[in-house]
Amino acid sequence: MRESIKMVLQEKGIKVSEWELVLLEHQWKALQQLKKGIETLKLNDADIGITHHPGGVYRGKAVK
Amino acid sequence: MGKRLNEKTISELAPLVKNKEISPVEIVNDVLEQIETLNEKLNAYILVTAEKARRQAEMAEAEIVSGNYRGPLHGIPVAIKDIIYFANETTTMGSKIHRDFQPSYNATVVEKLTEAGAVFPGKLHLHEYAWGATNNNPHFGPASNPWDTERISGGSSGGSGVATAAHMTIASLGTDTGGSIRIPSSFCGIVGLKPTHGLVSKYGCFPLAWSLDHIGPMTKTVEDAAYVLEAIAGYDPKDPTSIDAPTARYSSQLTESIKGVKIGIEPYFFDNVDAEVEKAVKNAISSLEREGAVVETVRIPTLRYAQYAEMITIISEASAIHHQNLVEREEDFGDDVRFLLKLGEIPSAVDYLQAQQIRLKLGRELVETFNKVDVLITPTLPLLPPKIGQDTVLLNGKEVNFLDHIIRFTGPFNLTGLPAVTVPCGFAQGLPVGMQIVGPAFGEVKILNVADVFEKLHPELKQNPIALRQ
Repeated sequence: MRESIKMVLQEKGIKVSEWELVLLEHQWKALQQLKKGIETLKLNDADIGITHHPGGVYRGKAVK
Repeated sequence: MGKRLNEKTISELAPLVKNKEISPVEIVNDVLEQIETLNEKLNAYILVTAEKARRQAEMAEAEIVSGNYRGPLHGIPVAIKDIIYFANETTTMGSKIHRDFQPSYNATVVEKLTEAGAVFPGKLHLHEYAWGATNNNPHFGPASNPWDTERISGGSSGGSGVATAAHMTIASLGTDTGGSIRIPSSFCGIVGLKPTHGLVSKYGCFPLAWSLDHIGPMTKTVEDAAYVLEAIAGYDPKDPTSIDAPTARYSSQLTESIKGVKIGIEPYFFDNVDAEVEKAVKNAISSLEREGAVVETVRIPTLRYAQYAEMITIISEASAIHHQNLVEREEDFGDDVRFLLKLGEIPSAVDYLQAQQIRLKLGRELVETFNKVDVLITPTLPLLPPKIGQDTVLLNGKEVNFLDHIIRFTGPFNLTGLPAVTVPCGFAQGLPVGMQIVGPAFGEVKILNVADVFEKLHPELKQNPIALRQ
């Protein structure tokens, strides 16, 4: 995990110290804990394409 | 001894100003005197624009004397978080990088408040780039909580919370991406309203995360929040997320009755909460029940993934915004912001898109919930403010990471864009506790009405912070 985080950041030209890597790995793992069980959500029922539909949920006129 | 003018609310001052019993100049002078007395101790303002404020107050006075009264904000000091643009005036965003930045135009909310006749005493302190909830800022120092100056004010709109609670302004504006209006409002014992996403234009506000950012009022009372919202709400073609929805005279729709109002309680919001905070909020709900509200338990299954979706969305969007500066001059960010910006470079496109799918599912569940109940009530925060500089806090005797808990109850309503207001509902260990009231999209009237009824039932909760008694 630590190596893959290091690689992602370095490929983008972002410096990262060993101590930062320890903290980043810890926080990233904590985030992954929050999504535990996500497979039960049937996420592909949620078509987020609607976000980009003119007059959709977040754009244009309010749904009356 | 009566209240000084800076201690009064908009609803107390407006009729006096309208009837020419007091002058806006007297109000601003009392506010500026309070800033002079307390700002060194509390660090609420980054920039005080005393001369400009006096000139604006003199102009307001002249207009009112000549019979041109604009409305309840005319001649009222409203301080602005220093991430919202004033043309040709330094807007630091609490950062080193933008320390000397001067935008060339006014934010839409500044234009609207100017039209309403407000007076601007200065620019308020914030967490660096609004990216954090402690307001412990390495470039400008921490803002201190007026209830205990060793504790954080909360953030990111910490200066707005402190200045309003300590009567260093009459009202203020904050911004809220994960809870940044509601968190400092709760910790400082004031009212904070995050409106429906799209109701208040964000044009001229430096972004933290485009899809989650909101601007809203931070005030001493619920009625005052309604007055400020009236002034700043409305469609703005300059903001692509602005929605052309009807606005209302929010202040005149506070009915003082909640008979038959259905309050939804989701057990998620009462899990892992500081025992004293939980007690204060539950007592407040009982108080509303005695006034005729009906309490129902509701279930919102996707809530348990809301914190994940909020975090992935906010860290990704914030890192996209600051990416170039992170690559080129990372040393100019404070340690905590630099860390969060690096964290935000880690999620993949799949992570971000799944977060948006969770967001959509949560939004749909909340639409169904608000078909059954009028409002949801939650604690605004599960814990009390830590001491400045502490990353951990005790939650029912267990040491926990502050960052892991701070947006647990506020973030879901940034994700879904729903309106949410925090109102003081009690005290724990001598510190204020906030209760969050959430409504359906554009349900500002509903949530403000419940908050207003509660506030008027409990005048004993209106107390001056301890820093003002010393």
